Amino acid sequence: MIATQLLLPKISYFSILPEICLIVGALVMLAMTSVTRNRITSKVYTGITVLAGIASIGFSIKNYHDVLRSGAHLVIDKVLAIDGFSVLAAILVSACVIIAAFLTQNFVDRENWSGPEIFALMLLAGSGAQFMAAANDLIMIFLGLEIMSISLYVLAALDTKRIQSGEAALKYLVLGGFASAIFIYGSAFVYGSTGTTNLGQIASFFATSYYTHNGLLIIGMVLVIAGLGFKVAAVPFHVWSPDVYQGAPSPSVTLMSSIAKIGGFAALLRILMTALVSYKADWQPIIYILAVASLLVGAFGGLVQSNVKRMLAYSAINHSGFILLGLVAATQVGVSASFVYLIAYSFIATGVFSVVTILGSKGDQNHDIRNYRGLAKKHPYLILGFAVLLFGQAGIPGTVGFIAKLSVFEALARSGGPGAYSLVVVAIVSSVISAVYYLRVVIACYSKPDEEMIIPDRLFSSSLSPISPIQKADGDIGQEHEGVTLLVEDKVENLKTEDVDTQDFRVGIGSSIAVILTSGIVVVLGIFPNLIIDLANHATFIF
Amino acid sequence: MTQTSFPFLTVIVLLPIIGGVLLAFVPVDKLAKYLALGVSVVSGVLALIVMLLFKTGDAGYQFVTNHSWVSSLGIGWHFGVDGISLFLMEMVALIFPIILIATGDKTKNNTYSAWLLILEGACFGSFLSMDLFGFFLFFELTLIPAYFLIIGWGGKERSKAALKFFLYTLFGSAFLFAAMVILVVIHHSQTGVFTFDITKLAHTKLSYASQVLLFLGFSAAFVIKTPIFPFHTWSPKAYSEAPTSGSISLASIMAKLGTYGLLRFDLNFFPQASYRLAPILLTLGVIGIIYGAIVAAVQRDFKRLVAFSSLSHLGFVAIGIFAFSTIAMNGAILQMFNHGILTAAMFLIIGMILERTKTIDISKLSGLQKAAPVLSGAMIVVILASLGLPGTNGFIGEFLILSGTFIGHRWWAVVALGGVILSAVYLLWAYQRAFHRKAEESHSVIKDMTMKEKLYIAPLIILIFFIGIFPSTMLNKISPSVNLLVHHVQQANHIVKQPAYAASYKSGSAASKNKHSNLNATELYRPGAPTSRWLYAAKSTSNETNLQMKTGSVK
Repeated sequence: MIATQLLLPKISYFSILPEICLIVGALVMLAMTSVTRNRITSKVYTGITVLAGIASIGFSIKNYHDVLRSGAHLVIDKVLAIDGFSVLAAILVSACVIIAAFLTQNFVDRENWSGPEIFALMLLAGSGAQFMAAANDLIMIFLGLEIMSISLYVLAALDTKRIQSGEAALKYLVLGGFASAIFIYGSAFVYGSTGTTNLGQIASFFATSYYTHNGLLIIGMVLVIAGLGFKVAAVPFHVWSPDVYQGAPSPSVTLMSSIAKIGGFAALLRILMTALVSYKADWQPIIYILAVASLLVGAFGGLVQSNVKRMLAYSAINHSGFILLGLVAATQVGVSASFVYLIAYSFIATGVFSVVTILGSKGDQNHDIRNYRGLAKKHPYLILGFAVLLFGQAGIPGTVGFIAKLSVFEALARSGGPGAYSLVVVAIVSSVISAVYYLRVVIACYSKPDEEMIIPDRLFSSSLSPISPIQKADGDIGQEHEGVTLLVEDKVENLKTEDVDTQDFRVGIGSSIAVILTSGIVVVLGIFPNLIIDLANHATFIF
Repeated sequence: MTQTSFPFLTVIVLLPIIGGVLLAFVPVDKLAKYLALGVSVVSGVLALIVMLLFKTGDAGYQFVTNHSWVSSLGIGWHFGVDGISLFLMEMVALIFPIILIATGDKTKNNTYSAWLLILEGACFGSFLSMDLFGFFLFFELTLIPAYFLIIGWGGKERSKAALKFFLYTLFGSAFLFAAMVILVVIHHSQTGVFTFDITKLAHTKLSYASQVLLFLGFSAAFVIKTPIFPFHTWSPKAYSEAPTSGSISLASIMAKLGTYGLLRFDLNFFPQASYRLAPILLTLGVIGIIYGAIVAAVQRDFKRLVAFSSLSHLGFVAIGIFAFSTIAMNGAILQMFNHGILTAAMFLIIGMILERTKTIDISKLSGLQKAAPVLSGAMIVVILASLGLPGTNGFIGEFLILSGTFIGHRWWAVVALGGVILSAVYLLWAYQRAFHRKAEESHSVIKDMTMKEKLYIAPLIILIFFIGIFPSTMLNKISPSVNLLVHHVQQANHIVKQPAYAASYKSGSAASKNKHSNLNATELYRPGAPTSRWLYAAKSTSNETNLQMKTGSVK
């Protein structure tokens, strides 16, 4: 390089077309609205979002063929990697955005929202996640992280009618900003000890040099893991997630639970498995502890929740633990297994939150498990899809959730590292414990409306939390947080009201598409797992 | 292994599942039960054809179909049937059509029939799969329809029962899952091949310690599913809260998945661990026999009584498996079939009683015999078979198990024998209370069995006597596979160093044993027996003419 002048890198626009598609889609929508004030219906926005998503998938597939044909390559001054992992992750992100868009269309109509913000932000968040998955440079990861996170902060705050939404957004913003700062601080340490932020160059630095005192690097590594751990809600960086999941509008949570995880895990996998792979012995124990903690907290935390969104937050934490198992294995097989899990989890999570959004009914408040009673009678097919998705979460064979668990266990057992087998057992036990709360929801849906809720109340109030349902509702939003009295009153009010009306809703076409698509994928991939396992075997890093 | 051109087993497994899934989405409430019955009967007929074409005397798998399914993990769509699984398949094929006829009344819609069909397919799949992954898949898949049958059509506390049942079994399966993955990974590390093929996995070399751990992992799932004492606590609740169809499928069919798993996987994969840990399972089996019988005696709810009697009867099956004698194991497999038939008949009759009197509380029932003589007659036949009256199928099963166990594990057999007497106590006592006594007003006018009810109970009653009188028709088909399995265990434990025992069955002639040959070679071992006994055992093994006995003397 010539050092005398500021040289802008050559930008290979063609390689980043998937991201560009999403961003252009968002900009087109914003421009259209500014020209034709509020005359555009949500269908048009959905159409544009879906089109942008499909275009993005199309260009990703083209990139995928390039990778298969001519191998993985680095573009734009080596900050972005176009390899099997990044293009497949990009496809996954776009697919999640498309599903979420279908769902959001019915949601905004139901809630009388106008304007393209939610769609535009979903596309932007998606592009951020795609950048994170492709980033080959700590700075680029940070940029992707911020594009995604800032969009998600706003998405969490979008429901201006509900104070919970603002509260959730504030929590997410403050803690998320903190986590981003930690990440960039860690990156600074890594830069300080290696002289570069490029992941490839960090790896080659360690290939040629050896530190006798590597304290600085270890600090950097730990901070980077902590920052990304926050984004994927791994214990102990998870405390934000139940509150945010409960408060944020349901379509936003759909996205938050899927693409934020894809982006976060993609970055984490790439940093640890390429740049810091020679420090495997140092980060493996950290990941091990994070995995065990996430598995257990996710499994036990969900048991005592009566709010379904909150419960699903713990479920997401539990799944993070499973995805981390592939990283504990720290092999290429492990990366593929984590990727299989990410695919499976993303579809299941978007599907489950789609149903939850529908069931939330007008006001997006109807998320207490008691209000789910008798739904199966009224909406048999919707609840069947819901049951399929929840069984997928529980990892019942025949669903893709099982394949995902099988592949991470297999990868972990094959790595044969210290404590691998015992970790498999911990993970399996946690999956059974978490099955309790998935089944609770299914049972609630299939019980009669007037039937006493035998399961959650008796089972859990007697053994785990000896408090009355009303008190429990108070506790739901987290007792330690101040300023939620309004919320609590709201909640109690919600419990007292007749819950018959809340079940009278129509399932819109968009939501139906989202649910059919996801539950179909969950079953089809469960029966023909070759489709994703082969793909995931191509999800390799460039190094 | 024989290959056939028509993929019988694939069709048998897939037809009900596909039929069930289609039925769930086609709103044909009126027609649903006939369509479901049709599908189920077609599968049943195919299973019957398989039995007729089954080559007697062949110890290996027959009708094998093998296609790659998930190539990267070595998972195959791999089905086959041998003597061990043949009659379990027939049991599924027989009982599901009967359930569909018996319980398809007006209150049931298409979803109900759909769940039953899916359950049927899953049960077929678990018994026939030769791929560990496939087995696990179907084994777990049985949970979902059973769960929905309970929460959809069960009794008052069905939600609790369903959750308990689901979680309990899922918990067991979790260990099976872990052990399965670890076994496959160990096999991979030894051979470099990823496979879930059970015939190949059986050759995995395992240290004794890992055998024990994996054995415990596999067994956890199976003893809970069966259930074997003390892992039975889910079953009384689930049996009593489930609708008749659910109770039958849980007790008759799904319970056998557990015992089948013990037989097929534990003994095959971990022969040494199975052999050395056998005393634990024998003891649990015997405790189950006695405990189940005692607790059954004090039950007021008829369904709970059957739940505990099942615990008792499946204890026999467990000791039959872990006695490691060909006789006992033949008996165990026969008894699995018998128990399926008897429990199904019992629950069907209880279902009829419930329909007529609205209660199955034994203390509230009385004098049913006067009003419903045919129903009572059917019940007494089932009860007598269940307590092992000679001439019925129950006798053959229990007799083979007890005599086979007695040779190697004398004291367990002696204690288990007490269970036979106790079962007479609780069954006859319950019968007396419910059917004899002076009839209450409301019970004196109940309807007897209708024609339809007689028709669907009849095949079960006929089978009870048929097997009781001609057990050899079944035992001939069962025993070659059993001999192979027993030989496999013995060889792994260096008990017998003779060439494969099953060789003597090439001729395909009658091979079941009678009382006199009970004392032949392979049975004659037990832990800690003096060496001279082994020598004697080995010597008389060569005397194969002993085995070729006429079957008539079994009776």
